[in-house]
Amino acid sequence: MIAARFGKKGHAPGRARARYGRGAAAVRWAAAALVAGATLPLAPGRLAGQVPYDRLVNAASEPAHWLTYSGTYFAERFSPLEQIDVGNVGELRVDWVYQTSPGLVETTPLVVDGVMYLTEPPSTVTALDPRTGRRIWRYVPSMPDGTLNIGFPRVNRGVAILDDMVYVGTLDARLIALDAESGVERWSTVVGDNAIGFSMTGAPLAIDGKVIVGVAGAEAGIRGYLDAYDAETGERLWRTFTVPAPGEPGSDTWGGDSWEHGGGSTWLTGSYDPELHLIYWGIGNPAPDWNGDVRPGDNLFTCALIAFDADTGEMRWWFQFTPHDVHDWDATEIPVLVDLDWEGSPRKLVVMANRNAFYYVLDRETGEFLHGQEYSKQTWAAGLDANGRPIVLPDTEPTAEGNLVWPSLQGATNWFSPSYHPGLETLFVPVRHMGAVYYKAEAEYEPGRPYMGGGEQALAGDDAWGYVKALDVRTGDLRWEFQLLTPPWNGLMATAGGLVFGGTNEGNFFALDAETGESLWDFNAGAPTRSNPMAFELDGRQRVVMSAGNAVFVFSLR
Amino acid sequence: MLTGGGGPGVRTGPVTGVAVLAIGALLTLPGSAPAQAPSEHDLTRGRMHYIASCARCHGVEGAGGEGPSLARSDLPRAPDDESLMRIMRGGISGTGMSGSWWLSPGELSQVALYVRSLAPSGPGDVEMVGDPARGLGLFESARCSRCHTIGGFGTSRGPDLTSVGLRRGTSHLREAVLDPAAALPRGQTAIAPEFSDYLMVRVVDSDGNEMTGMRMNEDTYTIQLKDGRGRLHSYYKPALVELEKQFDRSLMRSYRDTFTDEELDDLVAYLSTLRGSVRGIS
Repeated sequence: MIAARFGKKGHAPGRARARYGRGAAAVRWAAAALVAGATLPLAPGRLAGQVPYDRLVNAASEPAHWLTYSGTYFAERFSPLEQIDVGNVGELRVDWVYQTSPGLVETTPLVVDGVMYLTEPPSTVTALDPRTGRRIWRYVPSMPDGTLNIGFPRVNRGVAILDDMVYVGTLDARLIALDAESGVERWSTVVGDNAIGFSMTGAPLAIDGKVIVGVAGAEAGIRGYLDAYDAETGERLWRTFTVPAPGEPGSDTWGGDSWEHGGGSTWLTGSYDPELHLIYWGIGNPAPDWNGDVRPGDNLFTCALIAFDADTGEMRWWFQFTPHDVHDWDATEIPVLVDLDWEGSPRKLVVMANRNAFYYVLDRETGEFLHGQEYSKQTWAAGLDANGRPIVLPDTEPTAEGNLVWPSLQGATNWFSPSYHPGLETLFVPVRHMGAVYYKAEAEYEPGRPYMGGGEQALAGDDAWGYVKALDVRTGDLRWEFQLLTPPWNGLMATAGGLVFGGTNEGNFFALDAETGESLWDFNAGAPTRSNPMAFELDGRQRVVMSAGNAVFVFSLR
Repeated sequence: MLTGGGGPGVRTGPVTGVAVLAIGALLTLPGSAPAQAPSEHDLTRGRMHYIASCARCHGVEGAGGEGPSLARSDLPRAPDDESLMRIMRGGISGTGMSGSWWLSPGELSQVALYVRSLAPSGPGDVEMVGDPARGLGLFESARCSRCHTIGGFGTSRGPDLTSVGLRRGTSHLREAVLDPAAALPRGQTAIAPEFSDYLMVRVVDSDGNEMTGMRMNEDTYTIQLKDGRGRLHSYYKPALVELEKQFDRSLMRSYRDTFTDEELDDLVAYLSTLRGSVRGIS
């Protein structure tokens, strides 16, 4: 590990650095770089995003664009653009700022064929001119007064695009398809019943002719599922429940009728392997959150990662990180797909820095647990056993009097994205170093009401802080860390320019040296940052996009 | 899932008022006010939630601490149960009072019953030891206004005391006078309300210049300190050679050897009467 230091602004360039890495990833991303420089400028003024499935599969070969929530189906949130690098990042300037509607902004914009698509609170979709930030169209779904959002704020994290349509999930749990050119609604379908707490905040995942969406609402005692809809018509193609009904596999891990309101939401966007045709989706906490008495057992498939067959929704495999969770440690964090040499032979992996403070490496064809270890302070487990199951310490459950445990219920990390740099084989994780006193209370299910069974008082102020941690993707070993004043709510993006972009609650945007953690640039945007950075190229200039408060900032060298 | 309320206070402890209201606004209060004669069950449940959510600042029996006493027949900010439940749910912006948004309307109602039950049964308020008039004299003779303001008068080096009787319980006021470093206020300066205000910080810049001041604000990259003369100093943290946060110190000295126990009671009694301004009350 290297203790990260602040660097000087205008850091000297010229160090040799690994840009694209080795093996399959090297070919994938090196090809991307060639294309980036040569053949894919943004088509001027073309409003209809003609984004066939093939372009999404090959998103890494179009670094000028940002085509999916996490950049690619593999969810690396890595930009192969390298114009902005360790030598010149100190010269970044603001191109323009877009002011959104009021509320919390957690969106990742997409940029495709000369148009930027983003969402604004609570579920508004906006198309912008990416050169100026001027609005082209805006779609505001009408939602009933009293739309429920139990357990989370009224946010939206972005859209998906496929062919000439843009897809958004709404707070009142509908999936809506919009014409990419005009913002006109093509179809709308109800995904869940908002009156009993179903809601949607994550960006959809669009694949071959299908739109995959998850739901939020475990704090209201929903029974979660993952859905696939026909991209053209909105017809539902499959639905797979994440909490089994009696008689289904895993149902013996629930006591009594607890499965009926067992939680297991699917509120963040998963990743996808087009070759294996498998969707990887993280599953949320069981309900009620902090009182597990009514649901004895492991509570499958909450707090698990599931590989779904993309055509049928059938579960190919599952891996549960936190059996019988009582701390609200959803496993919805971004599953990052990586192809690596593993003990001498190439292997398809999925890695996750989990909310429960452990880092996991799994075989993504079989779900086999390959490796796991702690990456942030935790006091609830002695470690993981040979199968990756946590060895839970006694007296770490919430109690009526309160019980201090690390991490806090918001976890060692949360919905904001990690970033994977394939050249450095490093996963960058925004980490919340924070404990909490957990309380347990009685929980009684009432439709459309909070169903949580307790709460927490988090250690805060000078007793909690954050990090950007650089983990060796194979081992989870710490390569460097960069400390933040408070536990972050903003994601990270690594670039081929050797940088890691991110933000703080106090409004600092920053760029760190991806190899050392040295801070090379910072800018105070004046309001908390809580979204994910992304990048695109326009007019020959790489642009980096980050949000703070209600403002979306676009930076470049100029 | 619980992805938090918003901003730097995204947690179920101290949270920003706006974000809490955004969530809290969806919870509707029960149609009727709490019953006249609360059941033992409701009181027990209310006490349980109170201990989990409120006791850290207000004390288990409501005697107050970092937060004000609730063992009163008149809660100045909550004249009726509706306003009491609204405050419990959404907090009070600009103060250390955060909202307990996770409590259901029924649970809020039970906590309200418990809070009301803390009021003394007889007429009058909690028995106040000490004489506020004598306390005022001590406040003047000890020249406290050299560092504190009340009603716009005095020097604003330390915390404004105009409404300190609304904000703090007597035990916290007593500790603040005896051991100021152990009772650093929160929610007074611009730094996020969970942080200690007026924390002493020592910095050394790259030229070897040393300075110690009170923290007024801080982020990952910068820190703002106020020196003993009230001047603001702003530092870019990466350029500093040393940065030391002195959690065991306060710019205010201890008055342990200055006041007798009786005088301390008088001073605390005086401070408890300071409810002059409604500024910050929402």
